[in-house]
Amino acid sequence: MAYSKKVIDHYENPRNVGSLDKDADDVGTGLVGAPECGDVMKLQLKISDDGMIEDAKFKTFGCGSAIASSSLATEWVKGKTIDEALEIRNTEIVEELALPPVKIHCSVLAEDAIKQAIEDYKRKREKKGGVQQEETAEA
Amino acid sequence: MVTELAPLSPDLDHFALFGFDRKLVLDSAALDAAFLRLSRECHPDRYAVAEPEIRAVAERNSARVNDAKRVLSDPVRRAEYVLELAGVERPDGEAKCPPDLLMEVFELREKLMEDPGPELVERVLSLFADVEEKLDGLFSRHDAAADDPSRLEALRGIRETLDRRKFLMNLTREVEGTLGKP
Repeated sequence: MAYSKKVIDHYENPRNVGSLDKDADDVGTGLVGAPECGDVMKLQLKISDDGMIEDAKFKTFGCGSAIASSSLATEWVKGKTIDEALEIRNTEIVEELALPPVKIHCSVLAEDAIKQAIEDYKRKREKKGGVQQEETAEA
Repeated sequence: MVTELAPLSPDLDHFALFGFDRKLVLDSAALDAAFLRLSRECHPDRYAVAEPEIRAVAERNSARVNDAKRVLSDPVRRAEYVLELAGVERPDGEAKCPPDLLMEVFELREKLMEDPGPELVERVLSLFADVEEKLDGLFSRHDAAADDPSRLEALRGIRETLDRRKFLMNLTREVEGTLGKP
């Protein structure tokens, strides 16, 4: 089965490979995996206070389609608000990369990774908000 | 030459087809013998002079027997098949892949990329060996289960362990690549 040109392009020149500080308050991390194929994907988002995605990084250990899906996902989310990023559907990734049916799960991984990263960020913010409230109550 | 042949019942699962109980530990010699007997019985060559409908039945039966043999010969495929028969599925959503498993696998892969030293290689291979051993234990526990709840419990453990095996399998391949093995 041949990969599409776009998949090969992302595979050979992946965008935004790397890591952000997972302990930073403004970074959300999504770590997902597909038990069917054993691929693992980490996607991290740096998000501003007003909910803008300022930076995105990924690291994926898996097939070309999984790498291309996560590379594309980081490209798409940059500059979007978190609400806009949550609207990205795996079907759009499938369409853009012309993924064959057996590789659809790779795009699902990328969508899940975005969602998880945003959830992680929101959880951190809530926690931080909670701590601040406690501090105010104590003062 | 034989001119009569009944289609295999679609109600038979792969185990029943060969006259076996649904066990995860399977004697491969017994499987080979049963396969040989059945595939002789329905080999299309035996029905060369039979009516076309009978020849079609022979072809279908042969294909079915070959399929069953392929699945049952491989312990992992056999286990996946039993999980499917028993309707044991992965939990939906976030719990689909235990986060600690993902974390462990991801960290190992990162380390492997940075420094595929002999210690790390050793560790990956030993983790894989552990999984295989655990799987064997769970297979025996499944086969020895006295009732449905304990059988189901073993199957749930097998589902989880097979997924872990899949992740570690990819790692092991990577490791073997760095060792220059096929």
